[in-house]
Amino acid sequence: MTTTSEAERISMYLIGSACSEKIANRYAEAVNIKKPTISRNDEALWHFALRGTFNMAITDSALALLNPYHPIRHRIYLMLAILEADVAFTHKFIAREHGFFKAFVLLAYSGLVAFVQSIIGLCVLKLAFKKSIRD
Amino acid sequence: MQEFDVVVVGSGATGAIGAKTLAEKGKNVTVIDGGQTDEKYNSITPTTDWLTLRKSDENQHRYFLGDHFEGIAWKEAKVGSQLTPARNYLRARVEEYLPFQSSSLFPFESLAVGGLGGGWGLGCFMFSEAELSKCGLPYAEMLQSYQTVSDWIGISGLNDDAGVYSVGKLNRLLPPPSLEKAMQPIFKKYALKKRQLQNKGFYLGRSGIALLTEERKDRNSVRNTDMEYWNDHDRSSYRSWMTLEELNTSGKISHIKGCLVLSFEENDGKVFINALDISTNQKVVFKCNKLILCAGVLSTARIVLRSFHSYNQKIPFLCNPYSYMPTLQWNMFGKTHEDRKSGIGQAILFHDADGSQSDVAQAALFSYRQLLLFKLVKESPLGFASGRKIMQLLYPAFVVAGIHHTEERGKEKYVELLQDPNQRTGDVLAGLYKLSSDEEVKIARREALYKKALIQLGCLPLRSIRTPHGGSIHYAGTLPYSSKGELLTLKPNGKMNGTDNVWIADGSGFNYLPAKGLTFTLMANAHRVCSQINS
Repeated sequence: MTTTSEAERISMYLIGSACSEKIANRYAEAVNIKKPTISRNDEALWHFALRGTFNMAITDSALALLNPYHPIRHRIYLMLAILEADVAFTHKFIAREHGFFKAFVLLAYSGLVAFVQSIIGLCVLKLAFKKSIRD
Repeated sequence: MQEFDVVVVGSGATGAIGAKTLAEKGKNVTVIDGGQTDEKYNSITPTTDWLTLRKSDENQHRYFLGDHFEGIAWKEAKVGSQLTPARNYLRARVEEYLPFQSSSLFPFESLAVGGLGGGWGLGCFMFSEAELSKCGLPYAEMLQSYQTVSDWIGISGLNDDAGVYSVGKLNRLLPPPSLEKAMQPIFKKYALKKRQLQNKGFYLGRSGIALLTEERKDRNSVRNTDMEYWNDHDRSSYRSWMTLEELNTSGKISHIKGCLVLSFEENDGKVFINALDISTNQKVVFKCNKLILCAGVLSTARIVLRSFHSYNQKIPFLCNPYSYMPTLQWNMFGKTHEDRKSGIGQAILFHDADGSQSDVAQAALFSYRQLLLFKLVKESPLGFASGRKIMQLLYPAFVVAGIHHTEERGKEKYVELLQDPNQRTGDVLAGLYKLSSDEEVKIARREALYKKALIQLGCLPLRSIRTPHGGSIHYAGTLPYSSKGELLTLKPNGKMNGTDNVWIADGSGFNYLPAKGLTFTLMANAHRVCSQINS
């Protein structure tokens, strides 16, 4: 998969929409400069994550606990920063006025989703991708 | 060989004020500095406010992330790795020309025009009489110098409950910037619980800050664009380079940029300065009548140790321990920050257990605004997608307490200069820094007290994060003040013992470091030292 195709998959995962070619190119440039290298041991896990949003979510959530500085996370992080610094996606990062109750419900729901993703991710990675989660 | 009258080495907070003091006395002043500047980002950062440019500027990725994505730090733990691209010039070429070696100490130095003053947080604090005495600084002289520097740079603040610990004694204070929404509930809670908190030694107030809230002829009042971390377009935040610019424009100084001073020698009533031209790596020699070192504590230490051929000699080093404590303020949950405010220097919480003003800790409280969310998301133990959603909800409720602790000398706090032919300068400064177990216990106890106080103020602490040693960027004490006249010490007036015409006007002489922000006191001391220098 090309780096620009990766960018689209990661964008779908992070903000639920595809990114423009401009953003994808910016991601490719960032990967080229920062070099978050996916090793041979990590290739299988990376291909697994790139298959879809759910796969990427459980992979990222599990690695956040097992190995937060994993190169796969570095790639996703680069894309997160690039999306935030783009006019088209500012609204996904700037706070909105919800009121206490609505914000609490949204927080509880997001927290529950994050928890479930972490649990599933931990099980999948520990069973199927042991080599990748070592430092 | 170029010959000068008075040479000031360094153009940071102390160098700029020292040069101005000498120039105002009619001296012929030359400033020599490392000359690094921002060639790119300041000119492309717009003058509009934070929210408008976030929603409209197609080029924001350039100054927020950097053209080489240098604004996206990943694993870097070095102090300064979180600098915005526009401030990254502060650490340009430092590894090459100011090498430092340690596994326990990670200082931040600069070769920039204006020095570390270019990234100063603007907090201004006067040391108390007891604190000045511990430092080895004379109270009456320092009071005068604090006032003079305040008049020069412009300080806003209040003489409130915390005024006695910050700038309450200054005349001609400017009014503080308006209080942001996130801080208002904290002050309300403080007003309700004042007696309880003060009985435990806690005093909350508005910070003294070097931020103009009224216009001056050459600088604007704060525009509330919420962009102080990214540019200095309105010049409301004081930066040392502004003083240099003023002195250069008026012809009161000459300025040699891009030179690293290595050492000095005295001969026949003159001082010979050995330096390295950074652009060519050629050695140059200057001659002068008087030399004032304001290069920053570690750079000054290098220059002095080389000059006295004192390799492998340990000299003391002081650095305030610094932690930060993210907290959640439930009053702000579900709300947003208001637009067009300045988040700089809104509130400060001092801890003075016995009321003697001799052992005071400080916590600067600031909200998470004019900063990008991705950096906060990285700190959570969550996948980035979930982290984004959760932090988007939470960040207006974040209040971060940056806690500084006091600092005294210790056996395992020192630096030394080691010869190293592999380095451009032929040597490397090495250091060791370790807190004693008593100090660790004191810090832990104080932070536990701060946690309780913050809870009383409606801020729930989430964790306490100790920065690497050196993270406070408050350094002092390498060449302590002493009346005994030993080498590698300073006379109380700042003159280097063992020299005829060399003075040190930065923090090298301080025998103690209060927890308060250091920069204003450094500037006042530079004024004090340079005021006394006569032809």
